[in-house]
Amino acid sequence: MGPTSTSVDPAIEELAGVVWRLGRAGDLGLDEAMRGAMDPLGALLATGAQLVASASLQLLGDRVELCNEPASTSSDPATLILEAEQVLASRPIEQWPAGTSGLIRDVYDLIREHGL
Amino acid sequence: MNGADLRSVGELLVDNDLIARRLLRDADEIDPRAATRAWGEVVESATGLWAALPPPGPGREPAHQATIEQVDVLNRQMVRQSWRAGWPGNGGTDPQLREMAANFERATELVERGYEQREGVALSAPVAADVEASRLRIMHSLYLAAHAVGATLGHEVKAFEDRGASRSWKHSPETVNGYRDRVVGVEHQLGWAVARDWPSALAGEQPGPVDTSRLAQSWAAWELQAHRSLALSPTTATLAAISATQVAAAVGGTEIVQAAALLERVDPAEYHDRVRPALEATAHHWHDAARTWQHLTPQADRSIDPALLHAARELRASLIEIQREGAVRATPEVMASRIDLGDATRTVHRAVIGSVDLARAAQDAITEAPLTGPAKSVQRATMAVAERAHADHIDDSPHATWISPKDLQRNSLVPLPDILKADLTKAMGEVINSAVTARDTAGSMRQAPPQELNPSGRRAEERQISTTSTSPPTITP
Repeated sequence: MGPTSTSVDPAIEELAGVVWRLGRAGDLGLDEAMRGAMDPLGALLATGAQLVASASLQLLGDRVELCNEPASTSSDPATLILEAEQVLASRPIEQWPAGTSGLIRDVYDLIREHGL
Repeated sequence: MNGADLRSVGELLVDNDLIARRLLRDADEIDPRAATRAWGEVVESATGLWAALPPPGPGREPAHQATIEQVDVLNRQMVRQSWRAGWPGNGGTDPQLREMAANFERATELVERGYEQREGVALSAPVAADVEASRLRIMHSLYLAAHAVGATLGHEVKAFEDRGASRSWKHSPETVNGYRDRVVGVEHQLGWAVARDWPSALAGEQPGPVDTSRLAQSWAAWELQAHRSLALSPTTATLAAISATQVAAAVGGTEIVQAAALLERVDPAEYHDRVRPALEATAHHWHDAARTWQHLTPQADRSIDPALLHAARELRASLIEIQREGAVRATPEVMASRIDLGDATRTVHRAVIGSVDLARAAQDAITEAPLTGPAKSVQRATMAVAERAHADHIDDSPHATWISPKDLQRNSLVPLPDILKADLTKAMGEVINSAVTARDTAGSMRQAPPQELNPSGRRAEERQISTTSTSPPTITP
């Protein structure tokens, strides 16, 4: 059986980066969806990302303030969501806080629904 | 895999996690019949591995034992149903799910070979932790895979509906829906164990056939909950979430009415000349408000009432199931095959009426609630307002001390200054005005059967409606 890491702090820090990326993707995505011709799927992607980010704050416990720290230089909503997925894929599930499975499911739903 | 499989139990389970993630990503492309044929084997092999893992101690059951037993029961019911219904019938199995099952089986072999269980002997702490991690990995990958298979079966039900499927007992949507219910049941059982789902576990994409009443219900529930949340927790996070959801709702509502106009369920000329500009203006004003609240609410402070979160997700899900086809926008014809566009247009109109009241409630919250924001954001926003208000009299020191230096240094949460609140109230007034205009124009829009408005049978698109938006109104940043 493979080793089981008990590292917590780096995981929380990375998870905060995931939440930051999703929230940022939501904010930027909404602006993008409202620029020029209104884009209904873009607006739904943006609100979806914002709602997933809000729901995920509870995973950070008392380190929630970490998700105010910028975690990416990208300004493209799709890239930010894909980056969030890559971060989530970088650790086995037991290294993330309890409840992260729901976040993983929701991020993949965003990717699939919008063909990112 | 060529040659001997040298992967450890941990590696096999990590591989299954990766496969489950691929399944989630590819769920739209998976053959639902092949997935259904393989699913039973995946669950059986996963529960087999669970049973093979040593218990945490003498006479002790692992955590979530009851969950896995319930998953096993649901799976057996599904297999029995398959025999009875003759669906999905004989054929191939999904290769990714097959690989998952093989990995679980291989892991079971390794566990049975490597762990000779001895009665009355507790596991050492590292081994117990390792076993616990393995159980979590089993549940996690099964949970993700169940979500993917459930979504795949939902697409099959939709495909049946879209084809006007035969009603034979073997191939009815109800049969497939029965499978989907059981797979979704597995997902929810596991969800409570591993995802600690927020109340929106049942929201998100609804994989079943489009429920024509869902849009109206979810919209009404959203408005009711938004009012409640504004009354109970009037924070900048609540205002940000409400404004952003109203943007998506307004844009989605416009898309529905546009589809109705293109197919001439409503008067296309009236839509183009009066209704669309009004709906678009409302969407842009809500967006203006959303941006302001987002700037005043850092990510860490965006926690909202779970009931509001649930209602927003449900509204989003009801819109996306109508407006998405694959990963692109559904055509008006596809939307019309899913819902009655006349009914949906009336739902949008009711929502526009509701948005006037919602904007008023938001305005009340701004004036009455003790809203706070991080000092630096509040200072920036207040300075911008002050500079706009006194554009002709900007003095040498535009960095007025709206916020104390101490609060600025600590970026503490501070009350919104009156000048900022007044500006936010005024901005919400613009939302109200645009929503009132949209309400009145949409209320007078003529709905009629296609033949009355379009005797030639030509689509409105060919005649007068451009699907591109008019220029957005100028919004004060």
